[in-house]
Amino acid sequence: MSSSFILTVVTYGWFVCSLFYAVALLFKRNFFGKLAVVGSVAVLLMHMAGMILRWKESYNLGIGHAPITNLYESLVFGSWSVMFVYLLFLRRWRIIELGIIPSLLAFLAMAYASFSPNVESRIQPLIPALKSNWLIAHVITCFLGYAGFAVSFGASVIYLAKAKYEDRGLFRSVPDIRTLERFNYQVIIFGFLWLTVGILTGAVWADSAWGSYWSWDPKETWSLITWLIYAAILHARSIQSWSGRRIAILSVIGFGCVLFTYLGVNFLLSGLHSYGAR
Amino acid sequence: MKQVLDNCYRFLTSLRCAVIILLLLAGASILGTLLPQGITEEGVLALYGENSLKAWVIILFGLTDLYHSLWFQALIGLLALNISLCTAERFPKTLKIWSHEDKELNPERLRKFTNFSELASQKTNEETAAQLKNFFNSHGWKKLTENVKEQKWAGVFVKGWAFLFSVYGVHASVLLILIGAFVGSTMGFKGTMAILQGDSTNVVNLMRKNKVIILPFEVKCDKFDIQFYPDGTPSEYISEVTILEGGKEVRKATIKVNDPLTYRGVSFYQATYGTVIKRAVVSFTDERTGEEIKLELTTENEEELPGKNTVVQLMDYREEFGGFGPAIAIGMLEEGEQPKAGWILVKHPNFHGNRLGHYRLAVVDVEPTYYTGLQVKRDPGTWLVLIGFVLIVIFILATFYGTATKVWCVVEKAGNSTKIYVAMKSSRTGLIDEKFSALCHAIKKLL
Repeated sequence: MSSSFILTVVTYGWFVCSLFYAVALLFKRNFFGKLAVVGSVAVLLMHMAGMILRWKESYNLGIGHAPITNLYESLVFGSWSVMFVYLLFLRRWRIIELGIIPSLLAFLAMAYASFSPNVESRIQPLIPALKSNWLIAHVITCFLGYAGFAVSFGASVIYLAKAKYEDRGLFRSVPDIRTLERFNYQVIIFGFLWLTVGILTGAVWADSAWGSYWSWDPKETWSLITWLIYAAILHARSIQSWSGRRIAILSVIGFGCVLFTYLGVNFLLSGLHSYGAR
Repeated sequence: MKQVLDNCYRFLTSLRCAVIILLLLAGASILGTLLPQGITEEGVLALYGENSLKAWVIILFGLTDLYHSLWFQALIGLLALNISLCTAERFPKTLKIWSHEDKELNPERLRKFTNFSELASQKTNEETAAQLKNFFNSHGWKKLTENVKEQKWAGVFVKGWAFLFSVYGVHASVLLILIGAFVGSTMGFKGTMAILQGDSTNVVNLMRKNKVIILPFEVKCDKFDIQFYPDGTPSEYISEVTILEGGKEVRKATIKVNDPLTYRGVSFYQATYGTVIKRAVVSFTDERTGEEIKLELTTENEEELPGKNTVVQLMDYREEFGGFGPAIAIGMLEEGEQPKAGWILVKHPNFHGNRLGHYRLAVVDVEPTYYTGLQVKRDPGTWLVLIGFVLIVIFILATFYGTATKVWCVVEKAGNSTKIYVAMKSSRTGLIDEKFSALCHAIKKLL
């Protein structure tokens, strides 16, 4: 069995999970909630197995490296991280209804990685700039940060939807908005911590590879923009008038920045994260 | 006037100001990624037109080098000022809370806390107090104050009390990073160095400035090499260099991407490479007479075509010229005529464009050499920045995951039994209810 086959199955797996989460959110069926969680854990393990297998396959090709070095691999890993972080928080918070957006994001990322003709899924050799021990630390920490913000985005959207439509009897099953707000804050802290570590490991790496810990390359700059926005959110939360709704909106904007940092910069701006000497 | 200054100060030390500065910095940074950076004034005028308002604004505010422009740096300075003032304003208050001694401890005061509980025991108040003290001691609580009176005992205990200061640690780390960056930009330099294989140099071209720095030693490039994967993509760029001091070899080293060399505080990084030729043998065929002359050309000197009153010189080399492989550029000056220059394809000697004036040119032999492009820097601020990096992570962890908790306890004799009053406050409000009920539960079990 090849890793790409497993990862294709995983793509459908996330789709099915997001259906379960949708039912759990809209109709409060405990059974579907449990199914969604059990399914997610199973798909997450399979997802991980797929990545490990791909790692092994790269060694079989004689160009062994961790599977986090091109767009395809980063989408696969990003999708895994989002669900990993969601399930991590689920253990303590038990809010199954918030699973819909993380699982949908995981599905969309996997679908894009697997089916888009623009995404090269072949295992490629490492370019010289990426041959460093910092690679794994940098990528994993950045993605944990992104994933935290993705989960926060999901919670914010549901917060806003619940605040708006609750009187019409929708989203009754979702915990009260105070709990959502507290959950959101905790996830943002998690994302902020890991994004900080991610940016800093990137800076240390850049210093050892290119001789400059900061050079205002668009990717760096956008990660700083994201960091500044979440730093603003963390400060704004202590201002009394800046409660729930505004924080949720800022968090949605923040996630927009995350997406732009991750994908937009590569597609829309020039000369970025241009690895390699030439 | 004083009123205005007071208001300014109050705004500068407010959270609102911090949020605004953070968002302004984010907005300015976005602007910098949308406008092309590092182009010259002429470039801006060519791009947006001589008389356009956009070009004028871009030049006026230095938006093509936005992150080094005065106003952007002033914004960063404002952030540093805000952080410093907030610290100056709030730190003494935190210090007060930290060292605060509760003098008058009575049940009435404790009752006002959100987390308050009243327990009872059949033991005497002295015994209960001793039990409680023992309990707090053995569960990692630190005694802050103790108040023993007849028939009444009061104690204040803390856990993780130093976490009260962790947020100042985060802010101090940010300042340390900014100071480190400032030290680096004022006391260090960053530049590039291109060295031909076999050559040596001590000249560094500074980035973003039309200046050079002369190093007190020379760097010689012994060899530049590219290694490839089987599929043809490069796997490694390698410069073998020798450091020369006063012409003497003092160190040999290999520089690769991700593997720099540091010598006397100056670091060299593999950044780029290229090829040049120093020498080419070219044949000139006079189309009028059919006469053929072979000449060895160099980039340094011009050569004369014997008996033709014409000088030629090698001017440039490209490894890839319009899909036709390598080409060399040759300049020609014939007496009484305009100077001419043209690209001559190396691999296609019969190409009809291989002409200059009334000569057909063919390249007989070329000798391309690699040059290595090194990035060179000295940054005495790096250490401050790196220490700041480590500290900021530690303090963010401490701020968001460390809890400073304080517990007030009063034990009082009430008839034949003993009453215990417990209250709790915590720097993180999230889990305090659960923690408090756990504490009360543990105390109840003890009694």
